[in-house]
Amino acid sequence: MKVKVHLRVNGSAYEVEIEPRRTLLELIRDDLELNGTKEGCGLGECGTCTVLLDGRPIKSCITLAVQADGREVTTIEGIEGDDGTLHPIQQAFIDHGAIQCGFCTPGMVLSAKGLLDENPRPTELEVREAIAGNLCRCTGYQKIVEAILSASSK
Amino acid sequence: MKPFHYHEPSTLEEALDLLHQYGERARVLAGGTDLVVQMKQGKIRPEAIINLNKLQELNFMAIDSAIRIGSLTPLSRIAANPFFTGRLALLREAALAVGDAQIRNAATVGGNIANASPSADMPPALLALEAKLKLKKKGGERVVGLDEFCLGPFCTHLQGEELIVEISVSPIPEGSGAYVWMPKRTAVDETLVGVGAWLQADAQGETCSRALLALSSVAPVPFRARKAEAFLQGKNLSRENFRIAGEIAAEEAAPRSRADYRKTLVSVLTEEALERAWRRAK
Repeated sequence: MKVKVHLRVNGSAYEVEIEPRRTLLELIRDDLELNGTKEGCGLGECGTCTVLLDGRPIKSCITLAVQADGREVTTIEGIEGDDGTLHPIQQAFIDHGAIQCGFCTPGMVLSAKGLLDENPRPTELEVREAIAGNLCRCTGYQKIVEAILSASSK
Repeated sequence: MKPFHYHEPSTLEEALDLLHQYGERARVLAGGTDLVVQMKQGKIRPEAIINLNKLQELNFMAIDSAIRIGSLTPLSRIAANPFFTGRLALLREAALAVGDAQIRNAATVGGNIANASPSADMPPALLALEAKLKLKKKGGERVVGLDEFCLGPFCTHLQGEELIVEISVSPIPEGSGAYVWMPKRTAVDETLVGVGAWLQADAQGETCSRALLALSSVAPVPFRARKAEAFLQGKNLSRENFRIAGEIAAEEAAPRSRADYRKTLVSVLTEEALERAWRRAK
């Protein structure tokens, strides 16, 4: 049996009918066709599925879509400027070479955004703690940390 | 994931009615960070899910001479509460030991307790504060000590139709505490050993008038290391006595896997927790 879920995604209001067993990640990727959010482990460990729920990072693969009812979701598609310019965190990732294969990047960027929105001047340790739930198998984190720190000073 | 009957009560009363109706055939959904994973893995297949997300009246912290925390309070809110610094920093430290930032934004304190994982982090910190749980069911409520709540791994005193609604520490005791832990080095950094400590000193601040020590992940349930606590009573607050208390606590631990390593960790982390708690008292 499907249930109705009302939510805002990247500023737009949606009403979707969805089976309660389906995850927020499935809603975002399959129903709304926003494929920037990635599925990695599917068990809440790797963080590639990170999105912001009411401004705070969560793992959408272990969140049921019904849990987003009445709430605001932000995905990687929703953070660029109105004129299409990249978000300062995205630009910092490019400038610092913080991307290799790119699979972890949307989740990393959203975890960073969740941190900087709450704490605009984090320490390096706070940055590392904020992305502890996002695994990257390419770059070794250093450049990602540098990118986030540089975005924080802008 | 298998289909299930889905309910989204808008009041606590409605939630308790549903729990009464389904009993153990239903599971409640709070943050979902354990529940949804177990359902995806097929480890549990509940007949019904009762989503508590609309019960925001259980998402609160009230602090005066006592601490009361609603069971649906996310761990990130506990970690960010400025009151849980200084002598009460152990609650912040335990909340931050759980998962990662994303998990802590979703996971709730009630879920961390009710899931009853032997390696949960909030229970040892709350045990060191002698916390109590308020449980409600249709037409009744009772208060139980956290020390009698866990019966075994993932198994609690909670009857099928009961819900944890509140965690309380009343009154907030004199003294100061600390929570220290060592994680496994895996993707999720699950706690390998956790130690919650609370110390009360005499008026001169030199001898221990009371010590509370709670260990997690070294027995089927989190528990108080009462022999180590008894040893410290009336002793000088010194690194040497903290070291001996750690050795006694290690003897009280009964870890199943990696037993030698875990026992060594208990002794080291207990000493560290006591030392930190003591520093916070000064």
